[in-house]
Amino acid sequence: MSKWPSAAAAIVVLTAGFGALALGTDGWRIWTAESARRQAVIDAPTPLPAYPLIDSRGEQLVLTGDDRPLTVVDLIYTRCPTVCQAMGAQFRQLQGELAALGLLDRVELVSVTFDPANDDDPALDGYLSRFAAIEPHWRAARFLHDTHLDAALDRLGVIVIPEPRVGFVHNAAFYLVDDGQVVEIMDVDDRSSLLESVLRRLQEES
Amino acid sequence: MMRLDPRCIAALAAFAVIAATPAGGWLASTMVGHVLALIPLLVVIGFVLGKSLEHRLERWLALVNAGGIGGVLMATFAIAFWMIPRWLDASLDSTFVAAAKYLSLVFLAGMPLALSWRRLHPIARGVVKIEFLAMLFRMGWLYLISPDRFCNNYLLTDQVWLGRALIVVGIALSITWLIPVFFGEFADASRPPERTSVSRGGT
Repeated sequence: MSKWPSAAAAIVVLTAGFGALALGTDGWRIWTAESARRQAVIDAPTPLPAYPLIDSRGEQLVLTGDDRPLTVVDLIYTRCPTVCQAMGAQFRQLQGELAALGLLDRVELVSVTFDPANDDDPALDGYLSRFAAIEPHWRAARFLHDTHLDAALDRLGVIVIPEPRVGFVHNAAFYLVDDGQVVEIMDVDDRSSLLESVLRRLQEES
Repeated sequence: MMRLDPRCIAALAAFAVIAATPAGGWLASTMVGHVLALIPLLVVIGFVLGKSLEHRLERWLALVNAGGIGGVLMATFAIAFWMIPRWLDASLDSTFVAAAKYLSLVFLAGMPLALSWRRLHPIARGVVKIEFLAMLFRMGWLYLISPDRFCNNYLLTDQVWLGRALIVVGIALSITWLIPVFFGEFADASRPPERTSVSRGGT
């Protein structure tokens, strides 16, 4: 019997297989869910839901509200021993850099807790003072309604895994929010790129 | 009258248990369970299903899967796709992706493997086995040394455990596949050269 149909079938499988792998990695570039969600907001900014937050001084804010300054958001929990501490330290340095450039009031930093059960106002206040935050340009807040938390995490692609020793493990990142949309998701240890993006966007605005 | 093969019924029952009860989710709750239990189980289900159907498909297989290359390639790609961390992760967050994983591992990996393995040339079989072992060691090593999490759904410690487990499975499979070399048919096949060398010495 002719071998050609089998050879043709193998070639079809080979082509389809490589095609599927190429599609599944956006052309051999995106191998993890984390890079996929970061690329997704660059391709199309993700509108944030208009959920109200309340900060540690009892003031309400909505990240999608009108006349919001450029905002950098991070998701934290104050008992966090590791990565949130690093994020806090990065925010502190970022704020110092913004202050030196005289841009303090044009960029707002918002640390949002995903552990509202433990993070009450004093806990959030403590978090801010631990990093010598310059308020109100850096605020710590939680969702006014707990039900909004899960929906917001879901929208952003944040996955929080409870972990007995440290509390939670999560895919930490900085979220650059412009006009109520997430326009960039950045590594927590890459402050220079974050500052660069912030400055570029401020320049485009003015 | 069509009579259902008992292997076919068993495979379908196992598939129903994994897909429709919390068993599948439980297996996927750790990275080791996901990669080394759930995925292999789905492939095995497909394999058994394929074996139970093989005799009905002989003529068609001889036409499009002679030599088994196409089927083995299909299985390779289907398994490789679910080794991409992005899609392993996505299958935990989306029911649609999870369904795609279940169906593709059964029908595009296990089943074509069953319909091809016997047809594959012994040398090609050896190549597939070696490459499979190499993949286990490469992935195990990668998971052991990576400081970053590849999956948002799993902890870094989970990833390290998978790395260790992959290496252990790689070693165990290497030993299992080496045994026939020393004690099986290959061991007998290695005798003739000895005799040749003796006869060469005589001339």
